[in-house]
Amino acid sequence: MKLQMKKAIALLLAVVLMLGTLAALTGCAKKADSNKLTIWINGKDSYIGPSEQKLAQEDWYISQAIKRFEDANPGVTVELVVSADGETAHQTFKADAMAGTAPDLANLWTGQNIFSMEDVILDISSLIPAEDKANITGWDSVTSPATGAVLGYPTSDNQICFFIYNKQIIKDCGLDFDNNPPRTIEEFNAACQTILDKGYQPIASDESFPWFGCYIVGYWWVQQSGMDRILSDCKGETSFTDDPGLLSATEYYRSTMVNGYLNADAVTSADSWNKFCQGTVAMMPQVSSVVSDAETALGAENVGVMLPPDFAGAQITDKTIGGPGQCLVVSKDCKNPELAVKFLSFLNSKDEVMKFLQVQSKVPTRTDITAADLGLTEGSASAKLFTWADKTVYWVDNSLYTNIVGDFYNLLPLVLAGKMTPAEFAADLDSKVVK
Amino acid sequence: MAQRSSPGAPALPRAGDMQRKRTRIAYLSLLPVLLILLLVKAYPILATIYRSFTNWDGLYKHDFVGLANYKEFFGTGLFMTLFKNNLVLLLSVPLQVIIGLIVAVLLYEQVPGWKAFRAIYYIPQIISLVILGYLFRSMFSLDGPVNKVLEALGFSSSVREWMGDGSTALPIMVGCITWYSIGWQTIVILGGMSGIDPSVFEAARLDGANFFQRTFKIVLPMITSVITYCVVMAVVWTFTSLFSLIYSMTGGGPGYETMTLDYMIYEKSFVTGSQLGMACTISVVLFIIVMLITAAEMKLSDIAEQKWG
Repeated sequence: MKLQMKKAIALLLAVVLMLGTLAALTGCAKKADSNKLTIWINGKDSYIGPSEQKLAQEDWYISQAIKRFEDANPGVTVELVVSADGETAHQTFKADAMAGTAPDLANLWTGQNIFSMEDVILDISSLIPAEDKANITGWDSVTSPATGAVLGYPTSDNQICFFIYNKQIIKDCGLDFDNNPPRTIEEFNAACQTILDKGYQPIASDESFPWFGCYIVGYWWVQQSGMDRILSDCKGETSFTDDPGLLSATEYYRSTMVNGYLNADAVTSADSWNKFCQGTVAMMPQVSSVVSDAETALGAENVGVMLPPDFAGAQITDKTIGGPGQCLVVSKDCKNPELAVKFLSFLNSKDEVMKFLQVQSKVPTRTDITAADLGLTEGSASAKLFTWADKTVYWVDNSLYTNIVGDFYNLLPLVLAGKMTPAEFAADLDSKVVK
Repeated sequence: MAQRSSPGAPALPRAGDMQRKRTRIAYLSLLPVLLILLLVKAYPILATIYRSFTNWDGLYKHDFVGLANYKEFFGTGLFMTLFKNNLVLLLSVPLQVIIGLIVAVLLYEQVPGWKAFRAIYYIPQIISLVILGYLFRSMFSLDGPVNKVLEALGFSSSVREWMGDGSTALPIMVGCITWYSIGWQTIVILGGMSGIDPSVFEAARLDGANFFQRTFKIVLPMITSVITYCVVMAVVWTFTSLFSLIYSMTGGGPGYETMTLDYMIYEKSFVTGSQLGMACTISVVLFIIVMLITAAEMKLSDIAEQKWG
């Protein structure tokens, strides 16, 4: 009797275990509710701003926007899932897409990051309202160069690269970057030398990951070579070794350290931004999202921004690197793509973007929003950025092919440190080309 | 003696039947665990080996490319760079085992102050490797305390960007790993030493053996298997688990000067555009290296035990 009971219990346990496993496996499959959208948003540097991370989730801009959308569309629900960060979001999205369980919408990075995921991201070109196409910039950052498919909506965050500077230090050095910024490399060198002679560090940057390289050196490269030439180098039709724009841009990058213009520990430092905010550094290569932090630290009246100087004879001048670095994509698993695009269009509407900009200081991708709309002080750094919205060339590193970009990131600091010549660097990039 | 059953009573199973039944039950009991192990261990390993021969991008692209990934990995010199860095970091293994052994014997012999030291020596082990990495990075930065002390002592010519060069960054990493691991090594060795009869120590002391003779001529031969375990685990750990430390200390840079094989798996997977086929190739190479080194260590340990054990 006891044995029979034991057998029955063992059988029951086995059945429960099996059912549990089955339930766990099948539980991953999504319910086909066409009025429900699931959206992944990166937990930082995204629609969720640094100041919002201290707040309850229902107080975040994105949570409130979702609520407004739900109120305007009765019966529709949008579930917000916060991803740890952008890097892991890409890999997790891929894994879920392969399992057929990707969210309807996801916050990913633009350029090659999504072009390489065309198999799992929906082409929404036919669903985008004409009004959005006309009033929003940055579509090139989400349009696959190979197929022309539009793989998402650029987020309203036009990240523009520039030199941010401390007005007090610049003034103390007898310079006036507000009215007379250095526009040529020669003028820039002269300004850096003046700052150095006065005892200040002219430029600081943390280049263990080459931010200066991506923000500014990339511009110096593309302004001389053009994006077509860079893509042609990536394809192996031409070579990096014979690309004079790459060689001169990287040579100049190295010279900033040799001349003492860039901090001597740039290859390993991690505190350049702190130093800038403490007022010990004159300039720093930066992007638009940090301006408000600098204004808080130094006072808005002490923070200025300027475009990078231009190389003589360059084919692109008076511009800089920029464009939306992030986007929202619709997955191919989405049951209701029309509703998903409707939500994206809602998020990018003028009303919503205005609300978003009240929480985070960014340069919008909408062309019908001006600095005056947001009440920005004329002449302030934030207002100046608005005037540069149409001065951007898309990110060079985001345009490099996946087999090349790794060495671009990893070896560029060696060029800066003088451990690799620009020619050796170019030759290494050539060796990574897959024809 | 076999039991004889009385007429009418249920027949008792024979010993052979019982043994077979016990064996069957044993196998059935192990089956669920074996299935789970196969699912979570063997399948990923086999899938990784298969994908190492493809150009898998993490999605649907996984064309068979034969040995192309292996040729690229070994042919471009990348393997040697990474492997050399791994070998340098392995220098921490003898250091941590020897220092761990000395500390264990000091604690075992209850030297003056051993109670306070017992509370301290394990502290590095409970600090996150990420925090340790940032700590060392700050200490050895250009404006960091190490350079400040050197300057103050008049060694200004020795001031340098320690983490900006592999030849200085890697030895610092070795020091950091050693410092971090001593606590674990000490605990394991102390555990091994608990099996040694205290009278052995007493006799050695009476015979006039000094501290180092007691440590290396008495303790060491008596805990060979524990030392083998410590060495094998430390080697495997050094090859496979240093990602967070390297990430926070140098990010593998400058260039690839402090990058290791396991770090490159992350680079290829998540930083440089989802080259997961290549990441699988590096994983397979790392797996083989760790297996070979572990097998060699165990063989050497057997030989040592036969000779001195």
